[in-house]
Amino acid sequence: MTIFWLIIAIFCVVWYFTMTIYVGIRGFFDIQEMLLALKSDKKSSSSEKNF
Amino acid sequence: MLSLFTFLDAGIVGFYLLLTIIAGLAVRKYVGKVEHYLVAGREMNLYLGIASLAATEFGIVTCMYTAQNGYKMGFAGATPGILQTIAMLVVGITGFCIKPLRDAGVMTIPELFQKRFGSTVRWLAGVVIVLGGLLNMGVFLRTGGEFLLLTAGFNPEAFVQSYHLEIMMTILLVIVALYTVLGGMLSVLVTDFLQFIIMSLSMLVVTVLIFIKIGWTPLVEAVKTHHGPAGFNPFLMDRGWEFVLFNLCLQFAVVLTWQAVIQRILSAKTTKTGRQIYMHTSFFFTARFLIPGLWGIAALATLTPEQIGNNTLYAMPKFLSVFLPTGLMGILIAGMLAADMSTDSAYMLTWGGVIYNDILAPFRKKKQWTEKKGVLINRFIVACIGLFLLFYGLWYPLKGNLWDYLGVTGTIYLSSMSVLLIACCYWKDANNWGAIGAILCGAIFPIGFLVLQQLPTTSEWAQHIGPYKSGIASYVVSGSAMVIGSLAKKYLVLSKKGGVSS
Repeated sequence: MTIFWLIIAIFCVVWYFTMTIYVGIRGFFDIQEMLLALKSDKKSSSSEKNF
Repeated sequence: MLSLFTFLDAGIVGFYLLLTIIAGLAVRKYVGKVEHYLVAGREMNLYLGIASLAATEFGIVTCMYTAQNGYKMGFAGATPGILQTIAMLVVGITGFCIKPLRDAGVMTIPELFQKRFGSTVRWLAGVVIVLGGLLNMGVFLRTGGEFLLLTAGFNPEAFVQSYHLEIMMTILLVIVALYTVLGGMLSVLVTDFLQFIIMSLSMLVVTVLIFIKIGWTPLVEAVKTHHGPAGFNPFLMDRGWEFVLFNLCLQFAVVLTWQAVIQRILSAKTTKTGRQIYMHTSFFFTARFLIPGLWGIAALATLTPEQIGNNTLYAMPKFLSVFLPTGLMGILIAGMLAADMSTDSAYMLTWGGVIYNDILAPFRKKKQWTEKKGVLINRFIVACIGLFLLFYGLWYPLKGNLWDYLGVTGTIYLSSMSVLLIACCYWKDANNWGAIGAILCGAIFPIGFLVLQQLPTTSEWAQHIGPYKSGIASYVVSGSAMVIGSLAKKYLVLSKKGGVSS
């Protein structure tokens, strides 16, 4: 069982580090995309109101 | 009083707090509708979803009890994390329950229940969810404050008279409430992203430092000496099978119905994105238990029982207070503040969402509220939750064991809601009789066990049953109530009307 926990622990650290970097980069672009979509949604709903 | 916490560390923490406030407040201008406020207009994509889910589900409370598991149970204490990884993977791959839930286009789970079981069940489910959730969250602030004081080298007992802990955590709550009230889910997502990165990096640095400075072998030896083979294999622990089975039920219920987790599925752009968030985040839940668990084991390996004292919950922060060098201490405290703030903000919003969407639903029956009024009411509810947390969770001292408290308040709603969700999605004979029976039995059973445990005449009997058996029983009883209640209605009421076949 010691080997099992050692493998899990090492995998945990390596996976978590990779995930943090990858999600850190891609997540930034996700935020940009989300805010752009919400901005256009807000604009369209206010123009509908005006119409 | 200060141990290794210096002005450099304080500067790092201050800079982080400023950054969070700016980011949280900057996005409030995008909130125009209730859907923007509660589920970010369903525009959340995969990687933001992963960051948000991970940050939300890791707070200081999590860090404290998972480290305590490591200290008291060794590596076997990380078993619930592995079980949650399995649950997330299974649910993510198959789309079990979460696919129909996301496809339904609802904002909360009780809203789905209304479609199947009627408005009474929706309202009742909303009440149970909010009750369980808020009582569960009630202990977050105080525990978080204790961790921060201990890690910074202060003795919390010395602060009882001076109220420094209360003042510190009140300021923290005000900051969190400020951006959550104004920006809703949008602010939560953006700050979650920032907090995920800071929290993850600090946790990784501390763990690597433990491996370098203490090493793997002393950790293993400490577990062997204090716990024997049971420290590595949960089935060899006292009541090991019960522990594993209870946690399996609990983790599947959390994955399916814990509103803070489900809100990420409901905010996702598509159902496929929601499922991917589950699959990609699954292993984080092992890390969530194992990494602080290793910190707890490190405390076991390096500190004496006299240094730790009676409360094993304090073992890990006491260890960190003497282990971390200057600079790194500030990074860790900023990371843990990030973890706590992301959890608090997401939880305030999630329970607020259920209050607005489900408990207040009857008030919108006659006349729908405008979007502007809806957003305003949501903001008011979140502010009220902040006040509740302040008075109940911080200034009002809680008595009793933390883990028992979290377990009971969680099971009150998790058992019945998971049964209801499964029945709602996959059992065509399920109806409101069964649903109401499941909610009542799911809530009564764990509370009943706690009462039995507290009464002197029945406490021995309750101890004989144990927390795991009673927890498993609450899932079985809730499920049985759903089956019996639904079939009873089918045969007693519907058959008289000739509606069974139809």
